[in-house]
Amino acid sequence: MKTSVSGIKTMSKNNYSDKKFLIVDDFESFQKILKRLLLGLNVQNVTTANNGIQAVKLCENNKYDVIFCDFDLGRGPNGLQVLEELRYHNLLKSSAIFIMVTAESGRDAVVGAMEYKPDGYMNKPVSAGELSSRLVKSLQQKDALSAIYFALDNGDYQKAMAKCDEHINATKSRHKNWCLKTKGELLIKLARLPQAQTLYEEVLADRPIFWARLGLAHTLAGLKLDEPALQAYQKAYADNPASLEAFEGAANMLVKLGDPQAAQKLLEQSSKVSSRSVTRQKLLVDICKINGDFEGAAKAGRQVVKLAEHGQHKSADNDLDLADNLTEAALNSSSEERTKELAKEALDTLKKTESKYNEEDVKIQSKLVQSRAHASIDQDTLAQEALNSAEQKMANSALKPNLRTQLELAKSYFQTGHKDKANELLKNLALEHQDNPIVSARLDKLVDEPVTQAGKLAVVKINKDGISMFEKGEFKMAIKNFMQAIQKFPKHLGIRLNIIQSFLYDMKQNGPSTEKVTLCEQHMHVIRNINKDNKQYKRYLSFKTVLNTLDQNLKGDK
Amino acid sequence: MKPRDLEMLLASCIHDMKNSISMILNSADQLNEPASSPQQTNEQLANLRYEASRLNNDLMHLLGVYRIKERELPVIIDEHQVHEILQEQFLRNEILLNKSDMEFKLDCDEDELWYFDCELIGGVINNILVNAVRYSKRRIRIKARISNDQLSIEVADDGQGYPENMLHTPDKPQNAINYRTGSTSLGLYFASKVANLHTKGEQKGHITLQNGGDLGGGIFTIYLP
Repeated sequence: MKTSVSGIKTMSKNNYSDKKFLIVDDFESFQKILKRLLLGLNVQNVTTANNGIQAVKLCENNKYDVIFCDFDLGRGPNGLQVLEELRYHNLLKSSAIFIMVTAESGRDAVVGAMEYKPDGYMNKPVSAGELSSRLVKSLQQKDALSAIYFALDNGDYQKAMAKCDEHINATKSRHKNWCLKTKGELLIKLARLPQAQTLYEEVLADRPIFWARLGLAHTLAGLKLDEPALQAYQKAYADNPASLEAFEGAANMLVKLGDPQAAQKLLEQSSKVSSRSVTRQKLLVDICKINGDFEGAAKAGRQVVKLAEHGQHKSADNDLDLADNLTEAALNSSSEERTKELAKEALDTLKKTESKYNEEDVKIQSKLVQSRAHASIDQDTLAQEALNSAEQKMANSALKPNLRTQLELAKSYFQTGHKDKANELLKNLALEHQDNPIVSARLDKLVDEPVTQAGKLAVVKINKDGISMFEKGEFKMAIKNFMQAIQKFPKHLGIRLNIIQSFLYDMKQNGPSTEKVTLCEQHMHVIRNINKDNKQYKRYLSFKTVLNTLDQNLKGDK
Repeated sequence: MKPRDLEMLLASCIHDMKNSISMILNSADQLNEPASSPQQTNEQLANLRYEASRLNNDLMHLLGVYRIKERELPVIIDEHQVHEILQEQFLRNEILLNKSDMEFKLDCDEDELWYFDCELIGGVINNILVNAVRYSKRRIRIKARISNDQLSIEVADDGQGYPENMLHTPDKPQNAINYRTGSTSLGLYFASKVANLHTKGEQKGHITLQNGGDLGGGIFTIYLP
């Protein structure tokens, strides 16, 4: 064969004999193929791992120069999660090269990521020439940009940015693009958002480059420009339907814009690759809870526990949250049988959690959730016993219970018929944390009327704004207003009823729709246990009648 | 394209894939014969490589067409070194080219940068290259140029050229299921879709097929704005 392709000869000159290689793949046959190819390039030190957990363990004890990691590793963490784990625990030296090996679709999930990017990709099947070319390319890049990598490793972002600028301002640099991308990320990290926005917009003015799309979306979100950020995220996932960050970003914006239903739908529809991400499942849990869909929250919660089993996301909180959501789902289920199933799963989960994390704190919280799980299936004696046991443990402990435990206690008081104790506890906490808006917000989420001063004022403002929107006939705005509010005060009866009223006004003006009636019914379901003595009860009943009539009319039309 | 046309395209591609599999099995059997000469062995190995690459490309195209239809195919535009991407396609097929005794030339400035999805474009060029190995006599040339603010990548060979009816509508399926054109048609259809997915403002990428040129065979060209 005669060729005039330049550069091939020089590649084989690279000396890999002093470098340590690691191959991670669940298929032994592929490990062998790659190993054979590497030996052909004069590589001498090659280790193999069958799964991600093994790979991380190996990296704890060895410093590898080059890692080839398959994206789809079967059970356990995938390639991206392995990389995340390695970077998170600082198990890779800055000169190390991490190459992701993907079968067709795996690349899409990896390429979109802003954090935890590999240094290169390869598609299966891999040929010797390609392998050598990618290796040389990655090594050259690491070498040329070593000053930037070094500054990044030391957290010296100013210096890294200055070094990036050298390449960006050079008349001709192979690494201009990489440096622009990195500079954008650094500007975001340093919260210099207007500058980041300019950088991304300039890049996008020329070409629809994916990293710039995603970067711009993140920047707009950071600038609290929710609507433009949503649009930017939508463009990003239209380009790359496997981009986790684009979907998560869009879902976050939808929640902020008062449409958590759409956010949940979007996350559930987004591609299957990303369902393996802990952060995505956690986001889904949160959004499901906002929507009062506790079965959905439990479903995503199960994934969180499973996916976080190995790695930095592992925490008893995941397991306890799952049990909590299962209990809420049990309380909200209309079928008696389903309630029993869910409560049983909650109790099983707690049992496992207690043996998995042998810590006093976890045990106390577990007992508290347990009391609510028992209460959900009317096992009042067992519920009280679990509550007593938790209180006993708290009394025995030398330390003051942490905030999470106290909030759990308040919830359990509510559920086991000790409303006074619950309110007392929350009022004390409100006073104690009055200067902390985050804690205050969490307190107000637990109760039907806010306990904090800030919360009380917020509710007054929301209702005032809502009424003025009603008066102007801006019912869609009113819905948005109350939907944003209900995220802060999910147990607030008045706000729930205001949402329903907004929909009813809207339907009066624009005609009824099955979708809107269904949404109203979901909100009605959440507050169905309203007390007859409540001053809102009359309003609740009248809405119920209207909705029933609408529902029957709509069904009659078909 | 009409759904009926696409169905036919898919059917003929699957027909082609079955052909490839029987060729592979056939080559494997022949390699197993103890009496074969080194030259015969080489030939069989080249066949094996060719059919396996073809099969792999077909599967990629099937998946790609499906994903375009489902709007699931990511198009990740970024800046790339044109020479590097093209060279990699050569490297992917080095053994095949070698065994088929082809003369390969890459004509591209090493510093040329352009904007495209490297995986998609790499796949398109790889497929055309594998095809060219089958249909050319001994010379294949890949040439890349940037002019009028667009990148053109041309794959030319010294074979018989493309059939007349393909020249005008490269992205349309042929009328009947021909022996060994189903996969070519699907490949070209996919190539044209991939080109279309590359946009800049109002401009859209496209492909053309020609015969002739200085090598005298088929010329495939993809234009990317």
